[in-house]
Amino acid sequence: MLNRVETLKKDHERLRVLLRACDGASSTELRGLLRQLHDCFLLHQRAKEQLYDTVVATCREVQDSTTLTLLNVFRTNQRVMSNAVHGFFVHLDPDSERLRKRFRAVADALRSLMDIEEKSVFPLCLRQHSRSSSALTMDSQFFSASSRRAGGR
Amino acid sequence: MSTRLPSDLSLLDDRARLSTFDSPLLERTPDPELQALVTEAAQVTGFPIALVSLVVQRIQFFRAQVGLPPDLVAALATDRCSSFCQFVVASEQSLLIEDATREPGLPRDLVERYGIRAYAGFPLRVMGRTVGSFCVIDAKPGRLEGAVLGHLKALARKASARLEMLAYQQPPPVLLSESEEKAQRAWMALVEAQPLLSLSEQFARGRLSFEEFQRGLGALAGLAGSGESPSF
Repeated sequence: MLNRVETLKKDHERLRVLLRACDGASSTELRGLLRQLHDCFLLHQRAKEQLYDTVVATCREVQDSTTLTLLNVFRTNQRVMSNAVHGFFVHLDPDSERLRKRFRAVADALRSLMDIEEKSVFPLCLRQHSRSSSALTMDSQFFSASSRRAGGR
Repeated sequence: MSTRLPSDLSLLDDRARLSTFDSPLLERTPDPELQALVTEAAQVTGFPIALVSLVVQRIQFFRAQVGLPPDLVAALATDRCSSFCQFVVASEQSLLIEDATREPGLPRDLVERYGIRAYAGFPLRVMGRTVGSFCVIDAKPGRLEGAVLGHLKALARKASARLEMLAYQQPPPVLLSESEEKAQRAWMALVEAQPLLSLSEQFARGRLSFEEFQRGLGALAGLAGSGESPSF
């Protein structure tokens, strides 16, 4: 889990570098950089969805409804915004000046999305993972103790 | 001035009207001039909430506001379909409501969620199109006198003039090509999704309680519920 979160954080760094490059790019460079940004964003999205799936499944297993509610809220908001960002990349404005102006809203949205994930979503996933791991360890200790008491090995 | 709700809301989705919205109009950074106008509107009327509300495709966006609860300050928007301002835009006329609980035709969501009772809104016009409502809101029933309504109307005109000036910083093209139109719709979907992100951001920073966060999400249920942007 820790590795997956670390990989996602590295993706964020890559996305931030590309966003900075887009900020300072000329009109001709911008479209190429936006394509790179889109590719990077799509891969990152898939990895993030997988992380959500894993943590949501664990929450259900240990019946942690509070974390589950929070995760679902973040996931929904993140999906709505990610789909909108994806739409922007797919339909780049043919007018270069307008594209640049509109890109600022996209860059702000992406930066904000990454900040939220680093501040709230990733810590929530890690906390949930460590909680469920210790619950599973306790369960296995309980079962092995019960089994010993019952004369098993 | 009207107290009647229009039955025909088709103007809300008019393509020419929607094409008026671009970066400067939907900017989230507060505009000091619009902010001064809503502050004056609240003082003149005694109503605690005053807004420059732009009625877009899926949301009403608060370009300037005073008196909103923290969750709406964070989102700066609610679903369009639950707004009162949509009726001002659809009819292109002012709308006066003394007590929303006695108006069966009004959407119930904001009445129940935020306790809205009294409303007075005047059309905001940009480039000859009605883009939103300059309105005041109270949580108790209320009626505004003629002189106060006149003052409010004058403030609405000033707000329209300011919005017009902002819009001309980046005027929309007269005729959009197919790819320009798709780009415009995609960009608008992104701007309209921003309130969800802002709510999450303020909650993540500890500036909203979980209850406020949830209430704000509820006011944007239509946006969040789809789980996706409109098709392009």
